[in-house]
Amino acid sequence: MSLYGSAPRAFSDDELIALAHDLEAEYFERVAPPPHVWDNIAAELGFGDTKHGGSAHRGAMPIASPSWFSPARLLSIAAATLLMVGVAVAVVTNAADDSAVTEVAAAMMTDEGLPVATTATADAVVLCEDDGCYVEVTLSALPDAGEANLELWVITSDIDAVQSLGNITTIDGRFDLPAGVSADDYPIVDISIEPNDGDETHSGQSVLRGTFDQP
Amino acid sequence: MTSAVRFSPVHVGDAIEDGFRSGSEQGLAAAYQAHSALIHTLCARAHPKAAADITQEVFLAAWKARDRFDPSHGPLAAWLVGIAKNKIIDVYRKEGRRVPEASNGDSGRVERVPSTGAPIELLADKLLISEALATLPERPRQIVKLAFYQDMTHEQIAEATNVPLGTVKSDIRRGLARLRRYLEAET
Repeated sequence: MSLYGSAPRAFSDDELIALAHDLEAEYFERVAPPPHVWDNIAAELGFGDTKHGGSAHRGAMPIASPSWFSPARLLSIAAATLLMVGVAVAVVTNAADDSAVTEVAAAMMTDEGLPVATTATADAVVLCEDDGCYVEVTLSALPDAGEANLELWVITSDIDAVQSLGNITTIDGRFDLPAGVSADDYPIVDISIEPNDGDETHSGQSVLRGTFDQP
Repeated sequence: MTSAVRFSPVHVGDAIEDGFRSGSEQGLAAAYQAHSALIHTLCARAHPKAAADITQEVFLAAWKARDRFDPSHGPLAAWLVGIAKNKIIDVYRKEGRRVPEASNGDSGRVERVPSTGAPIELLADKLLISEALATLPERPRQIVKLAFYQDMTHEQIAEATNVPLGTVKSDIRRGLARLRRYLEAET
């Protein structure tokens, strides 16, 4: 995928934390390009009617605003150490108000005791909104599956019922829980290596697994 | 019971990345809308006079090379930043100028990170970190802010936010994983 052949880099947790910790508020600011940049791109690629001087996209290309992490908000938080408890409670309260998302369970996934070893780990969180629940999975890296797929499952504690939630193709993803499937009833979360053999049952080749804890 | 019913995962950000890879005009427009401010900000900080031109070149080059974007190797934003870094360096070289070192505000102090090389890299890394943090869901983002910016311990965060300790740890791991995905993307 590289255009320039740059070498892959590796960051330790400490390096990541140091970079994030030292991040000045100005790095959360964004400067949108002037409108003619898109017009030129569209014209160069022959999009729309831009060759005739009038871009279909002119003025219709709003730039995403980084309201999520405004410098003012960041600075105010950085300056408010003594008020930290109040701030923390406030932001969590706001989060609940904004999204109406409730976390109902969380699990840490490792390869301990599993047939396939990996250095990767993962976290799975079950979140619920008004219209249903879903699992958010974040892996430290994708385990090596070769030509096979990585598949996410939830399993009952007696291993009697297994429910596929879908294939994992990136290190973080969201997977809807079907109606009738809950973290209570399916407390084991599992990632397996599934060969492309048309068999939709669990291969038994689990590589990461965890158990949901209720918060 | 076996897995008779299958459900498609919904990956955050995938719609834009899929659209970009599809080669449609709308796909590029959506990618531009999502990431042009990030790319232009990087260019404006590194080479203010040529920022608009470099931003344009980045998206044109990315579009022409879109088959080489592989989302399993990192997010589109990071891939575009990788292209932008090289375009910026190209412009400086064409101008016969030395690639500038990023100064740290008005102090004039030069920022360097030994493990990552040149300051232009640091500038890009910092913008990618802010971008990565922005993609976290609300609660993990707030937890990460308390941990990274306030230096609060996991226990202090759990107590202050009334979020279970395991969830706090999970959110912080998730935050680190997200930062790593952006910074370790192959570009």
